Amino acid sequence: MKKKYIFWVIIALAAVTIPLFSGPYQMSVLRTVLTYAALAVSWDMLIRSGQLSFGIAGFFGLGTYISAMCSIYLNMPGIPAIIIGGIITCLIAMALGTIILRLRGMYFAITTLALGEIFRIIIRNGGEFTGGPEGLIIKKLVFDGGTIPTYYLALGILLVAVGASIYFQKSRFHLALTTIRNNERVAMTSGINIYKTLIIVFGITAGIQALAGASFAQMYGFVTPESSFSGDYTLLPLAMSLLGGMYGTWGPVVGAFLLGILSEYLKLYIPYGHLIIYGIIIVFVILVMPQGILGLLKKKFRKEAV
Amino acid sequence: MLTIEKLTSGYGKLTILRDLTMNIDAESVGLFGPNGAGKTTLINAVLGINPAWSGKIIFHGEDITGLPTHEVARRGIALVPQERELFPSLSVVENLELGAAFIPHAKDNWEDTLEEVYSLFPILKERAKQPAGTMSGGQQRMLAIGRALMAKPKLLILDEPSLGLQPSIVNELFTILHDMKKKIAVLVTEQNVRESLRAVDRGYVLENGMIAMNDSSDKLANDPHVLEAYLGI
Repeated sequence: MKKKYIFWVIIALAAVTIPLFSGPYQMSVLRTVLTYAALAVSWDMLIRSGQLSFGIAGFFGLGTYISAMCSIYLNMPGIPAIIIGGIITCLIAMALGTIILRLRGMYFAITTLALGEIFRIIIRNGGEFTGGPEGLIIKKLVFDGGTIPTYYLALGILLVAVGASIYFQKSRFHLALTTIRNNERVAMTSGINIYKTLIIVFGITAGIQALAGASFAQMYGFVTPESSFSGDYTLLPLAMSLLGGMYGTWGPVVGAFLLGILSEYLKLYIPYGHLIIYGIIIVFVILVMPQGILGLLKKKFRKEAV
Repeated sequence: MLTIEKLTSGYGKLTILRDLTMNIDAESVGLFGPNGAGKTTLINAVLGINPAWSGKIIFHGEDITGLPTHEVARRGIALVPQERELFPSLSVVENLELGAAFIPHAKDNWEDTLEEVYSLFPILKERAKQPAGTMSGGQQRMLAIGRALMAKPKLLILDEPSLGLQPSIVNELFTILHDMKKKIAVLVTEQNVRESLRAVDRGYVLENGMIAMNDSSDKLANDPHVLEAYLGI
């Protein structure tokens, strides 16, 4: 118990003090990794209910555009624009959820993928208001684009995701989501309102994905249909969760750090080659360790304990 | 307590239940019939899992026809499903908590109910922290019943509780059911007619989606048709 406590203190200290002894390049890599970790955790929160979403990029992109528009048209400062981006996307997702959460399995997954594309196409053809194919530019970056404060911003968004995820694991949501994933008939007859539960989870996870997107937009100062709705934002968090281990908070975070940092190095040596590595990792994980790295470690420790 | 009036239901174009009328008071009622007679369809219709095409289902004076399943459950009807349908990765106590967690009148003092369930099934207390998947078939069935009881139901529905269990456990199970009917109404569907007639007050025999017979368990046990068709004598 005490060992565990010390471990968390070290992690927390490392997270807070890392800007003191690393340069701007490392900071920007970490910022990206933190953002991906938030996306991976939020994706995992929904898969715990059995619903596979390919809509991460869609909600991420929606977050980037809403916050950019808040800054450009309403002169809103960075942080409020990010929060508004998250809240509005959460509401949009809940409204859409009332329709698409009647679907299950592959049908739900494909529909979420289509949603992202629909958002992208609407924005691409939105004329001057959305900036069309060229996108929009935010003149004033959040924290003037400073590497250290934006690092803390990304860390803060990951903490929001982790906090929500832990709440979902410790509260009755955990029972509800596990039951819905395993057996909807038992869920219903145990008094769980499946539809309402899924709409809430779908909205919250989309909101977190939008927060990540909105902060990305405010850090880099521009949004375009192609960069904001890039398929990377859907595929990478998925690969990270699979690698780290699904159905938990820390698996996706571990996976995000491993893959995120690995891909930075790979990019230097074989540009675009990192995508091949991702593909290989997904195949390898599914075949050899479907429970991911954390699942494998847990199993090992449990065996040693017995 | 539960009144079913002229219920018709089925799947797609296939009619399974035809104008079915039955009634359950504070008692223990058996529902017998061969495979495909409509026992599970009837349960699904009562719980709102499968819609009633026509007819009425009234529970404690309230028309519950067409209510969503979770609302029916919150009004006090609990189901022990046919397959054990537990969550192997959740612990025994988590499985039990689930039974109460989403039922407004049961969730606040679920720990008291838990003690009652433990006194009924002491083995569950011993195994409280263990993942449910590691228990034997009989223990898992007890857990499934325990989970349903956690909801403090007024009516407990058991769908084929003896399926796949060894005879000594079946015997134990029906002894417990027999004791339970003092507190709550029980509706049990069974193929194991001999054992279950011992535990119920009354029985309905369902054939081709209609009630073929309705009598006390003593009379059913001596009825020539029942003897021949279900007891193999």
